[in-house]
Amino acid sequence: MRIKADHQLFHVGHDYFVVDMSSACIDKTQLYSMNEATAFLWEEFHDKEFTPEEMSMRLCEAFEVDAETARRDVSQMLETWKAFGMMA
Amino acid sequence: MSRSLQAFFLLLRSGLWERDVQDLSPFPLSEQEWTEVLRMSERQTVQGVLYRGFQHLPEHLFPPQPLVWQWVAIGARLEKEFRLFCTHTEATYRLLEEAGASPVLQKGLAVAQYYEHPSLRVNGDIDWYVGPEDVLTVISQQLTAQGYHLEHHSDKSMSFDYEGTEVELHRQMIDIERPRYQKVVKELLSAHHPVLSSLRSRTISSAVRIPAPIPTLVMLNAHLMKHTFTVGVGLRQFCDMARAYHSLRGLYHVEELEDVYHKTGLWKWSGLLHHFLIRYLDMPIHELPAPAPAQPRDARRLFNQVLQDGNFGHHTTQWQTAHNKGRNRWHTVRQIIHKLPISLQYAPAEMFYKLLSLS
Repeated sequence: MRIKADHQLFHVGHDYFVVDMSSACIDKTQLYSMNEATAFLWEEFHDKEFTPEEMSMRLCEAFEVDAETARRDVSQMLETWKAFGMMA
Repeated sequence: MSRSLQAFFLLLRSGLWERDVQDLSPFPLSEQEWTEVLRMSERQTVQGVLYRGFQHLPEHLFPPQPLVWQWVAIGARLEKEFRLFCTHTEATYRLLEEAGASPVLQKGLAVAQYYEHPSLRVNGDIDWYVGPEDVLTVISQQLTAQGYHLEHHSDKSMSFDYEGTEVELHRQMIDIERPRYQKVVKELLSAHHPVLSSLRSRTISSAVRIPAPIPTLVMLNAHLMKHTFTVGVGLRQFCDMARAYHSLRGLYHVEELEDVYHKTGLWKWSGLLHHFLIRYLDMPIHELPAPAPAQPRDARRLFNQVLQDGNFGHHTTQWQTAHNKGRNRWHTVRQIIHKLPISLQYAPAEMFYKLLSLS
């Protein structure tokens, strides 16, 4: 799977936002807010093909999360990203 | 000065020079004050600079969350527009070259590259210097033959629409009206040829011609002076000037620039301009050519005028009602007359020729 290339991450203070840059009229209602761990995964995988397992492993390494929790969190997160049209 | 205006200038300087906010005393601001700061930044078309500026505050002094979201959306929009502008600039460069011109990019993206974050400089249109009037006529005929609709303007420039972006074609690289000064400009341009510059750092193939350092500074300076004393000017143009001085430092001979300022009637005005840049934008004095003396009260008067005028005077209600072809020239004349008390002190000859060109 792959993240859509026309989505971009913005970092302001401790907040992270993803914006669909292909949108005809960008306004604040189109911003998708992320926490640090989610933004980290976005940065790591936004420009390449990946599997949910690869993402879970990276989450385990970087944030000391157990494998089961990482798998569950990544699965939920990817469902949300799909729902917001962020996945190719 | 109100608290929101004080905060606005602190954030502007911070975004312009990418450094911490130097004085936190006006903060925290209320939601209403933050909204005023955002509105002011839009009027002066420096919302991208302010977007960077507030990020240099300690986080507990940031704007309320809805305004942060609004500002992020503005930043994203500017980034998107910047990419489109780069694409259209590169495409119209090729178009003009194919029509036989050697176009030189003026202002806009050529100036954006002097900012730490070029995409956050607000762009209006694409300005190309094409060549003298006869060259401009030939190029416009070629473009018309290709189906572009060319509009002719009173200053003898032309414009056309390129996929929704306004593209202006100019016969003058530097906006100076007095014939004697134009001769100096001609000599300057023949001594300092345009240079190739890439609009997007990693794509060498997208390089376009931009003016050399001294013509760039003279072009921005003369453009600022003309607009200050005619239709009005906003803070973005002063920010451009400050960033250009900062970025081009060491790439030109200061004495040569001073000499050109003397010979083109820009010297006295430059004193006022530099005074403004130092006092209101915190421009380091050692990065400027030696400024001529200017009255501090004139800098204050200029400051009030800039706040009132906004971007090229587009903020004033008079401009909004006068923005149609028939009334535009009369509006410009009225604006010039209104500004005569200060323009006659700093650029009397240029104003005389400007009025002559409108008659």
